[in-house]
Amino acid sequence: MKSMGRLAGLINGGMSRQETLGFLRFALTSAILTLLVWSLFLLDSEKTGTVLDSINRISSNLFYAYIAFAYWTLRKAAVIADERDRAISAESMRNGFWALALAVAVSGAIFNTRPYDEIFRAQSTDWVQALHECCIVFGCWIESSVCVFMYWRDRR
Amino acid sequence: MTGLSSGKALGLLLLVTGTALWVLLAGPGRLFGIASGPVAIVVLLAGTWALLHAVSRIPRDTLEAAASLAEWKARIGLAFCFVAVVYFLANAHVFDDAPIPHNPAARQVGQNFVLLLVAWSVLSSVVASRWKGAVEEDERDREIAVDAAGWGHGALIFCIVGFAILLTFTPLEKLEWATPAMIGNLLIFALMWGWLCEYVATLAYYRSDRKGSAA
Repeated sequence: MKSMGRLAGLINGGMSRQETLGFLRFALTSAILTLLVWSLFLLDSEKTGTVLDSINRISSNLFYAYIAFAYWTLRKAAVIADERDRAISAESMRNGFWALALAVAVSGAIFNTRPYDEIFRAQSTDWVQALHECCIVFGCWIESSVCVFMYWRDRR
Repeated sequence: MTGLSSGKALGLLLLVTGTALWVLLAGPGRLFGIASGPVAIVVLLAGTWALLHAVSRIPRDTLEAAASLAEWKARIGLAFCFVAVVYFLANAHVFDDAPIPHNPAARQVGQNFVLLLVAWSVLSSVVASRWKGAVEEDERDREIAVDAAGWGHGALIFCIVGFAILLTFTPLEKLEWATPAMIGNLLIFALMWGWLCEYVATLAYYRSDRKGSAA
């Protein structure tokens, strides 16, 4: 009860707009990343043909919806509340960018390595598209994770 | 060195490195029976070394008066990123065959990229060494870096989303070029594109900041 009350307090007034948006981004990117990783690497495409197609379609739609949401929050967050929000935003953006750059560089290198190039050659274009989306969502997930972690640490 | 002679030396340096750049990007593959790519890279590196020598002779006050360290780094980064992006686009056709380790033409291009990267980092570190013991960045530099990084981040995401949409909406029969090696190298291109946009944004912010200060 105490923790519920604290949560309600946080939602009602304890959190700044930046922090609330950070939590929202973290929840959304966690869900989309889980779906993407599940459909890319954990499902057996031969056994789950139509299910896999459905998951791919859902995760892809969620990804584009998230991009639109992230763009909207970026515009909303244009007026930064204070210096602390600005510092956290800069730090989380920096981490997100490097995570994305790392994911892209690793993907680029793996595509150029045998025997993985033959494995990728056997995949559909939808799969490659989902891998691209996964790289971006991974970068966004790291960004929101760092943002949430820094607010949590700051609060402590 | 007088102003006239240093101006002539700079002009000569630009002419030689410009010719080397042209040979590297659009020139014939072989000149007088010799592969032109490595020769051009060697000339470019020699030009970079001459530039290093010139930079090491310029008094620090003159360097600081011209721009801050972050702006110098952005200028150097923009020049090298621009060359790398144009070089990649000019040689994009060599990447559609096999992965780089098994493709001699792509391997040569990759080696030239590594040489460019080495020259870039050496030139950047030489410029940075001139700021030893001085304030390297202030609040304005940090603000500009954050804003410019946002542009670079956006450009990278835009590029990757563009590739994803291209793969989704292009009919399969028109996607023969999209081999794993080509897709992998397009991802590397997206990274270079992101950094290029970040450097352009950095210089644009410094320019507008300078204009604002002068007004």
